[in-house]
Amino acid sequence: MKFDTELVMLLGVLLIGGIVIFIVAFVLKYRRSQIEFVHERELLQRKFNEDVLQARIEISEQTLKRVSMEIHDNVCQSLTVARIQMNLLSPENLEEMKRSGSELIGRSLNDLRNIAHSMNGNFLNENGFKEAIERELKLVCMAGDMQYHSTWKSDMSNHFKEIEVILFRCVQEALNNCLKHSKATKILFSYRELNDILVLEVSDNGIGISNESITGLGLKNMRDRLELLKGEFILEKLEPTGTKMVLKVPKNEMIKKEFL
Amino acid sequence: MDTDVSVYLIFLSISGLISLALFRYLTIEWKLLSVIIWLTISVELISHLPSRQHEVYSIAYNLYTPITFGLYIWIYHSLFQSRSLKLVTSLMFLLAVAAGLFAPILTNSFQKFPSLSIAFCSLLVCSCSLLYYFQMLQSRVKESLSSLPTFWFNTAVLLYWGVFFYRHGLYQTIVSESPGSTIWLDDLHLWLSLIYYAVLAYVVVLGSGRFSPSNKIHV
Repeated sequence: MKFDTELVMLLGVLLIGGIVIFIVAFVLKYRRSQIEFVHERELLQRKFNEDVLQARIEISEQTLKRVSMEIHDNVCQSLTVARIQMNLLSPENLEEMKRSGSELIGRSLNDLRNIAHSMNGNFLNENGFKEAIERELKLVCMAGDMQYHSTWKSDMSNHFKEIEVILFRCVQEALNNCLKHSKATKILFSYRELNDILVLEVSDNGIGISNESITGLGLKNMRDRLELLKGEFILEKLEPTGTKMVLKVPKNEMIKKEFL
Repeated sequence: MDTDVSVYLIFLSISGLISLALFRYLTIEWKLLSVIIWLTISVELISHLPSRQHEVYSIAYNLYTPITFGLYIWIYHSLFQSRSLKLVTSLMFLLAVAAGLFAPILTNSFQKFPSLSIAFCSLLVCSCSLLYYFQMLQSRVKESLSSLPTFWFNTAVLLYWGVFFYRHGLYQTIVSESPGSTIWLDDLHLWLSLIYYAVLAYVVVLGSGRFSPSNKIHV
């Protein structure tokens, strides 16, 4: 049985026309979602930049806070004692007071020198992530009279500075929490790469984290920042005592695609 | 040989040469596409030989159909990311090869042009193309379409094999099988083939990554 030729031709026109219309519709739809994608990416980029800036500010604030604490607790104490000794100065104890005063002023000078070094807000940029973390560990442990041990299973090289700033700020916050709340005597820090993931761990042997602290602003900021890097923040209570913070972030390639 | 057929064969040969020159830079899917172009050159040369016999050309097409459509579906198989679509294309691959091989055996029509097998396989390939459009829309990274070889390949496949399906699956089968009754459709098809293989050459060039325009997003 043969069909009407014109009908089949019409069918052909409809089929080919349908395909063409479909392709045009696809291109338009793709273009619209492309614009949405670019817009979304711009927003994400802006948020990322704001976060990096905020992290830099927080690092500076943290540094200033530590400087003020150091001046108050060490330099001021030493100079006060030196001043008292000056007031108690008499011909009998002249030599002893002179030696002791010189010692106190020398210690103050040393403290001030250390403070001047730690005030360098650009330390991370100039010396790199590893050096900055090591210095932070040293300063925190000195302030809290703690011991620390750090393990680096891979070099934190060829990473974007912006990401280093965010990670550094997260580690700084974690160390600060150890110093302020944990009453720990020992801090362990480790950095390693697992496949395409950077894993940073900060653990202590302190009293453990309370439920109020889990919902605190500091930890929330850390979680938000890591989410922005498509990363993960895990908080664990260690047995018998202590806390472990794990920061996981996809390696550069992945982050680069999203933000840079 | 007609001038337009000669132009078509020249275009096809140029596409073949381009794919040959860029072959080592291509990823698996575009290597398969190059093989398709070379197979097409061979079969078209056989079918347009001045001394050719109808039987030889039909047998060549009967062999060409399962291999080529199998390769097309294999290309889609490697382009799809979702496991379910890969499974679907695996089934389609088997169907296309089976249709191309068994249809002429069962109907004992090796001496006939495999219109029905081609029409059926065209439908399969067009379905893959539609599914690929769906995947492109779902994809999170939106690159510029003009620099995407997969977009050009997919669009060319949908248009070309859509028309092929109409020609061999509908028009020739239900209206007329007699030679000469589809001259206008043959002409349309010839010019479409010319454009199709030119686009495939462009796809190979883009796919090689050596001359492709920037992949940055242009909005």
